[in-house]
Amino acid sequence: MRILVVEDDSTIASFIVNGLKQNGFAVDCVADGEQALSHFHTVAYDAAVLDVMLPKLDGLSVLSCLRQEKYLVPVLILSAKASVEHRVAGLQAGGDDYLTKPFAFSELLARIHALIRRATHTAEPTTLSAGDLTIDLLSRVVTRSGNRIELQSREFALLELLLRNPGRPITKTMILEHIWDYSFDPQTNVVDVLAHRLRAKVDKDFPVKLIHTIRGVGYVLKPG
Amino acid sequence: MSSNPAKSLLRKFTVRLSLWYAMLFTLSAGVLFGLLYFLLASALERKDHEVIETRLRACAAVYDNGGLDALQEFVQGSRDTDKPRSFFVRVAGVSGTVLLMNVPDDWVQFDPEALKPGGDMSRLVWLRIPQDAERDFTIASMRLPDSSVLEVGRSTSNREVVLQAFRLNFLAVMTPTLLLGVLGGALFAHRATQPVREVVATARAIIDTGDFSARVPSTTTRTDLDELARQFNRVLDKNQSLIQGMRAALDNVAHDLRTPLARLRGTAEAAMQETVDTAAREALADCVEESDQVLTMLTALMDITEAESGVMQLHRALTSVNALLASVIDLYQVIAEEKRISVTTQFMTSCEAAVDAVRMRQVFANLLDNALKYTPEGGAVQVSCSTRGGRVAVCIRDTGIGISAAEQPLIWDRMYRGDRSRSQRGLGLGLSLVKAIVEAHDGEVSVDSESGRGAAFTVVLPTS
Repeated sequence: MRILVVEDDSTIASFIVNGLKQNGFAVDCVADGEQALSHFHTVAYDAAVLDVMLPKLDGLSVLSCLRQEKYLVPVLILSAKASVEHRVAGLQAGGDDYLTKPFAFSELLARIHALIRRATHTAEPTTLSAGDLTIDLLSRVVTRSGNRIELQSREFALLELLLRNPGRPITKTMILEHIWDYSFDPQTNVVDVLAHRLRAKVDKDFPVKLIHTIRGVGYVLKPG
Repeated sequence: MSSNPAKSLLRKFTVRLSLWYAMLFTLSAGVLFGLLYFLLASALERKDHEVIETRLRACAAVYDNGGLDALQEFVQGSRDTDKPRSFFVRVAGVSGTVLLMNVPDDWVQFDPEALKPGGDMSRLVWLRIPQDAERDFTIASMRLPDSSVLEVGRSTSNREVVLQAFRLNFLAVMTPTLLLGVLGGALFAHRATQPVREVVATARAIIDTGDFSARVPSTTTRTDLDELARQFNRVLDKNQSLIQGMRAALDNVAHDLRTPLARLRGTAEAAMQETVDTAAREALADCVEESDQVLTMLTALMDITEAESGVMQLHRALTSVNALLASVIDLYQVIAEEKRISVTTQFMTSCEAAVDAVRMRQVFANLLDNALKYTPEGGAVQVSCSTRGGRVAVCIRDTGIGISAAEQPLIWDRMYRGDRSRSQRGLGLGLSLVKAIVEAHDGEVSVDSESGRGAAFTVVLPTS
C-alpha cells in the first residue's frame, strides 16, 4: 500500500510519515501542491493525505484537478479549519474524508484504513473475531469461549467498531461519530461510560483482557 | 402583536400618510368651495342691491319732482307692466305714519316695527328679512329731503335658490372627492414609501437568513428616499467587509493555534508509541491529554466569540426540536443508566423551530450533561418541549444540587465555576456557549433554581 502525504509543516509531516511507515505503508511526502500533482501523475497511490493550506497550489485545487482527470484515489483532507463550511467545501471538492488539526495519529490511521477498505471493496465478513471472542454481524450474537454475552445495541456497535480495527486504537471522536453520528465533541464522558460497560461484560470474567485503554488516544482491541 | 387591529393599522406609516393626504385633499376642496360660495353669495347680493338702489333713486326722483301722487302713479304704472317681480314701496312720514304703500303679490307679512326709521338715515340703510328657508326679502330705506322716509324692497328668494343648489352640489361632489383623496393618498403613500419598504425588506432578509450579500434594489431616480436606499447599501457593504474581516481574523487565529497544537500532540503521541519507560509514557500521555484540553477550550472559546459577535454562520432550517432532544437524550442514555437517573420526556406534538440543528444539539447536550452531572444517583431529569405564542420552549429540569440565588447571575460567565462544580470535570464554558448560541438564534435562556432543590433551565426559541 502506497500513500502520498502532502503537508508543508515539516514536524507534522514527519510524524505522519513515520507513523504510517511503522504501520507497514510505503509513504511519499511532498510539501506543495504542484509537486503533489506531479507525484499523482507518475505514481499510483492507494490513498493520500492532503493538507488544505499549501504553497503554490492549495489542497482543494489539487483535489479538483485530480477529480477532473477522473483520478479516483481516496483522499483524506487534513485541515486546520474546523468549521462545517470548510468541511463541506472539502468534501464537495472531492475529498473522501476530512480530519481537522490537531488530530490523533490513530484516528488518521483508522480513517486511512477505512478509505482503502472502501476503495478496494473488501468483502464484508459476516463474523468478526479476536482471540476467543466472536461476533456474528447478522444474528448479532456475541460469544466468548463458547459463552454467550448479552450486549445492548450501543455496546454491540462499539465492539463491532473495535473488532473491525483489530490492534488499531480507536479515538473517542471516531466512536461518537460512528455510534451516535455526532460530528462535534459534545464534551461528555459518554464514550468512557459505554466502554466501561462493554469491558465489564466482555472482559471482566476472563483472564485475558481484550479491550485496552490508551491514554490520550482512545481504545484498542488486542488479545494479550 | 397589538390586540387592537385598528390601532396597529394606524401605526403603519403608509396608512397614516395616505390619511393625511386624504384629509389635506378634502380640506383644500372644502376651502375652495367655501371661497366660491362666499364670492357667489356676495356677487348675488351686490346685484340685488344695485337693482333695488336704482329703483330707490328712481322713486326718490319721482317723489322730488311730483310728490306723493306722482310716486303713486309711478309705482302703479310699473306694477301694471306685469313684471315678474315687483317692488315694495312705502313712504313714511316724519311721525311714522304711512303715506304710501305698495305691496307686491309675493310680499309677505312682516312686523312694520322692523321698518321704524331711526339712526343715521343720511345714507342708505339695508335690511334683510328672511321669511323662511325659501323666501327672503331685502329692503333699502333713505330719508327724503322733506324728512319722510322712502323704502324700496324686493324679494331676493332667487339668491337663495342659486345658493341652495350650490350647497347641494357641494355635498354631492364632496363624497367622490373624499374617495378620490383616500385612493390618491394610498397610491401616493405606496409610491412614496417604496424605497423605505425595500430597505426594511432587505434588513429583514439579512436578519432572517444571515446572508449579508442582500442589497436594496438600485433605482435610476435620485430622490431623497432613493438616497436613503443607496446609503443603506453602503452601510451594508461596510458591514459585510467588516464581518468578513472579523471572520477571517478569527479563522486565522484558530488556524495559527491549531497548527502548533497539532505538532505538539503528534510529536508526543509518536514518542509515546516508541518509548518503553513507563514514567515517560505517562508524562507524554499527560501532554497529549492536556493538548486535547487546550483544543477543547480553544474550540469552545472560538464558538462563544463567533456566536456573541454575530460572525457564527448558522444554517437555520425548520427542525423538529423533539427529534433533536430525542437524539441528545439517546446520547446520554448510557450515563443516565449508569447513575440510575430516570430521564422522562414531555413533548408537545410538532415543536418546530428554525435553528441550526448541529448548534442546537450542542446547546441541549450541554444542558443535559449538566443536569446529569449535578443530579445524584437515583434522581430524575425531566425534558419538556412546548410551543407558546409562536415560540418553542424547552425545559430541562433536574433534582440535583441546585444553584443558589447569588450564583445564578454568574453561571453564564466564561470560566466561572461554582464551588460545588469544581469537583466535576468541565471548563466552565458550557453555559456561556449555551447562552451565546441561543442568543445568536434570537432566543433566550434562563434558570430557575434553589440551592439543594434542583434546577430548571429553559430555552425559548422563535419558531421562524
